[in-house]
Amino acid sequence: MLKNYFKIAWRNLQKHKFHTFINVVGLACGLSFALAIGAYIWQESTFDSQLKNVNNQYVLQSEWKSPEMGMPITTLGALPKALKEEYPDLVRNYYRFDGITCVLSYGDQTFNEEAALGDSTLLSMYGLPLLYGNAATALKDPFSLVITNDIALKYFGKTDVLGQQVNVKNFTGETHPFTVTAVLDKLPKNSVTNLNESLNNKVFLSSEAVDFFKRNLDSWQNAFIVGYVELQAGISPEMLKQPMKDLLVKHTDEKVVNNLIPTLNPLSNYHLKKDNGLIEKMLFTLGCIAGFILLMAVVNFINLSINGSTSRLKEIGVRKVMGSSRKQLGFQFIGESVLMVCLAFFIAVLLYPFISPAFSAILGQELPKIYTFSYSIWLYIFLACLAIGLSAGLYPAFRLSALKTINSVKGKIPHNLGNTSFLRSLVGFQFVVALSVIMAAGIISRQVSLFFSNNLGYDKESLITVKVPRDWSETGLSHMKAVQQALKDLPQIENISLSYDTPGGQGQMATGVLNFAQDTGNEQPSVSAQYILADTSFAATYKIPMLAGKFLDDKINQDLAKVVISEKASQLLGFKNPNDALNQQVYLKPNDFPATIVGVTKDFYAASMRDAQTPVIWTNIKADNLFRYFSIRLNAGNLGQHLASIEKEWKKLLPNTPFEYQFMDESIDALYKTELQLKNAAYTATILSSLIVFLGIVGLVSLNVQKRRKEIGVRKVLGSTVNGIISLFMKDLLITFIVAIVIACPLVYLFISKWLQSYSIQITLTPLFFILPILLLASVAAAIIGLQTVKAAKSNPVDSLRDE
Amino acid sequence: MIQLSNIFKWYNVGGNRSFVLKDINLTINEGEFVSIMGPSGSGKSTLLHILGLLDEPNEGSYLFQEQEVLHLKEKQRSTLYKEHIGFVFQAYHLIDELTVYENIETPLIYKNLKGSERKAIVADLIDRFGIVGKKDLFPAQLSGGQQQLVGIARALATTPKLLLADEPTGNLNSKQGEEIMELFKQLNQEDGVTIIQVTHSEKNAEYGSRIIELLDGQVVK
Ligand SMILES: Nc1ncnc2c1ncn2[C@@H]1O[C@H](COP(=O)(O)OP(=O)(O)O)[C@@H](O)[C@H]1O
Ligand SMILES: [Mg+2]
Repeated sequence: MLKNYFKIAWRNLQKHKFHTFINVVGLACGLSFALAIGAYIWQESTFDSQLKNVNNQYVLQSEWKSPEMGMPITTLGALPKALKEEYPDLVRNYYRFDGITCVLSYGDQTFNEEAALGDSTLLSMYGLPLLYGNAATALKDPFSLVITNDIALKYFGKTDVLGQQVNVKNFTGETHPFTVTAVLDKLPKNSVTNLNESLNNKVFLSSEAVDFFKRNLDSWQNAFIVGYVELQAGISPEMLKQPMKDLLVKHTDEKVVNNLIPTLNPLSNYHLKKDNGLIEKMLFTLGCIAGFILLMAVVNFINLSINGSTSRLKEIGVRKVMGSSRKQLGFQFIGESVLMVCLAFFIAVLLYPFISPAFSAILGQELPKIYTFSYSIWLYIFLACLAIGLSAGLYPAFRLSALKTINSVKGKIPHNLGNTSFLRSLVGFQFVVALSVIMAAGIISRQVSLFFSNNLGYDKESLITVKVPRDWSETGLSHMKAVQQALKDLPQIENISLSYDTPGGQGQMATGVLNFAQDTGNEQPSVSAQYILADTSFAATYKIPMLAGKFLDDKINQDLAKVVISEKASQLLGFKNPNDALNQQVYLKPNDFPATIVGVTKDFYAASMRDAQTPVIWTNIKADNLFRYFSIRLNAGNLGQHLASIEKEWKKLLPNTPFEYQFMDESIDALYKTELQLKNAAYTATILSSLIVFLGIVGLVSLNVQKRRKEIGVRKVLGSTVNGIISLFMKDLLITFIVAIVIACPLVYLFISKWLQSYSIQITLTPLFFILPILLLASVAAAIIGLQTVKAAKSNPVDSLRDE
Repeated sequence: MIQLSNIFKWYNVGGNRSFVLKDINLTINEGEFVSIMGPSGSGKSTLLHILGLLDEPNEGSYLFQEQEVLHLKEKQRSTLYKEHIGFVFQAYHLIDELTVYENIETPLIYKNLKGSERKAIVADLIDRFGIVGKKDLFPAQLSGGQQQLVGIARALATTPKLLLADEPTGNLNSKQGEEIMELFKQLNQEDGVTIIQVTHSEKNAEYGSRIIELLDGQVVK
């Protein structure tokens, strides 16, 4: 019996090759997309799952009442250790690191590396895979070095490098050889070595090396240490609330106790929840897109299956007369559609390795390899096949097999069949999804391009940032100033500025915000502004226009700071006119250090354009000797050649520091990673949903043409023109299309305006965003219908009227 | 074997009842070979469809082997098809996707026969109908007469007691038609199969043992 069904199914698929092809391809497209997005979601939501005891692992972070006191992602250096030592029943282990950038050199290779100066527990606590070395001892010696396999390959060209020595430079410029004591295998995705985009450590140094780097991990004053703890089994993070509070009271001053709430965030979902759940929201959106595309493909499949099955009424009738029960017929149809779904899934799985590079590019992230899928994923896939096949087979199985045998045998399709409101609404649904996706994609891409257009308030083109060696002393600064002057004399450089932070993501605005007010005392309302320590040429280099006064100068007064503020800041201080702010006195919090406003700049986006333009305040780096970046504006010309010449000069000026530059527009790209993902996903979804809807139209119309061949013949005999016949089929879908428009427009408007609301600058939604997609879809659909029906309409009516 | 009493069949056309069958009373005994004749539109096919349980009358009763078979459950009806009734269509109605062999085998599959039994039965029929050379061909590759032979072979595969045929030779030339009629006669006489056929041809009707004439939905002879 089964063999017979299978045979019939297979031959049917073969016989209706075109129909099968359209049906399977449409479904396979939807399935591939869903598979790729699903794999990505799976990968992201199992981010830390390979860490040992992941359910007891936490990252210790901070909620500061006053944002300038510390960073939210770090904690007090001494806290994790004290927790383990004083509450061993609650805390099983801890790991801390200080994220530093150091210069590594081996032979003639010199690179900046992000390194984690941290506890030796790293290797044992999380079960990170070691290629070489001993996890227990590798980080004991102060001059030991643990690296990942790709770092080993980068410096040595091989991974078997235990005992090799690399020179590491500290911030005062001293170098010391460090010995490789362990090599890590490719790390699983995890939030310990890769807490966020900017902390992705591949070089690990022992906590014993703190003296060499002049850092301090064990201090209650150092609020910039990344800390992790592993709780004892059965201990919940709430149980540590009081102990942590007690430790703060015991070891820190009142100000910290009043301002800091240490928080324990579970690593099991840290990746999804961080940045206000940015990734989780993105995954949800992607999931919805994939879900709709899949649903659309499935609906298409069901629709085409149902329409296809009406051409098999005769078979149904004959089988009944031969003694088939309805149940057996049902099984046959369901079996066939399950077979077809499996075929489509098979194709999707085959396609996966080919499309995943494309999706990696779209999502800016590697997709997992197919052989890493867990059994549960395959189970879900199998269940999905079954469910899709079942829903596509159910209609013919129940409706068609329930028809009167006599009608089936006569092949008489009842009027209400194949044209029911059910089938119409399926096509309508496809139109709705396709229209919505196309509209949304257009709007999203307009909005995203807003972020990349040059309206940041400064000129991001031909602008690079370069990390400079860190020697935060007066001599260090004057050395750097000399380098700056030498570089500025190069013909390739238009301007150059030295600063601690840079706008647009690269600097991550690490200094955070600075509060200031026109009065002393903490009770007064104050303005929180992005704080940029910069030299005098910052505004000129970035081309940020001045509204009043001048930018910073180098005449430092030890008792009275000079500040430049942005227009927004001056408004927040209460000045109507930027000129009013000039020479006014403000007090920098929390110490009420007096400062004079010497200039007011136009507003610009110091951080992401997701948020409103924040107020900005500058002070001169000369006052604090803190600096991290050169921002270099290149002159017009061949950028590649410019960079090569600058690097040559750089090598002469700073022989031990790599020239590692970043284009400002590229670092801005990185800032909008999720938006770019969304945009690319929306584009892909547009292509796919259009493809599916077109396949759907092709399939539907070809079946309709088949069904109405006789009618076409009769109409032609009665004098209908070719155009008349084509318009017959168009009219058929027109009403459905109009209904789809009526549903899609408000739907898209609702969701998109909600999405837009999360951005401070928004595009305005014009009717064109809605009309263009409608025209686009309508014209392509009309073209498809026209092409398909023209043949039938032109055919000789005798051919279609002859049978019987 | 068959007893129809007071069978009425009508369609509602424009609010009026348009009668297709009017008060049909009919008894057909086992072993008869009946031909139904009448002008086009007189209700012959409708009557045959009712006899074959493809269609139901609006009124009346139908006893098949002393058992009321109208309003049967779907399962019982498929049992009747499997055990007792074979149907031959004017337009053959073979399943296009199956070969000759598989078409004949299909009813046996529904009867849940074992593979070896099916093989024996199908081989026997193919042999008897002289279509051995065609067994792996698809219906579209056969002539009309050959297709009808397959249709009959398929109807006979389950060795039914009643064979219903609606203009079995309607689409065939006269020589092919004669062959089919000879076959029917042989089936009726040698195997004792009760046959009811609808035909337009006096000549074909002569093969049977009895002729029922319909006119405007009523039996006139
Ligand atoms: N679905 C229907 N609706 C209305 N009238 C029908 C329908 N099916 C058949 N008829 C009518 O029933 C009558 C008998 O049809 P049929 O039994 O096929 O006649 P015959 O086979 O004798 O030519 C015809 O007049 C036909 O118009
Ligand atoms: Mg007829």
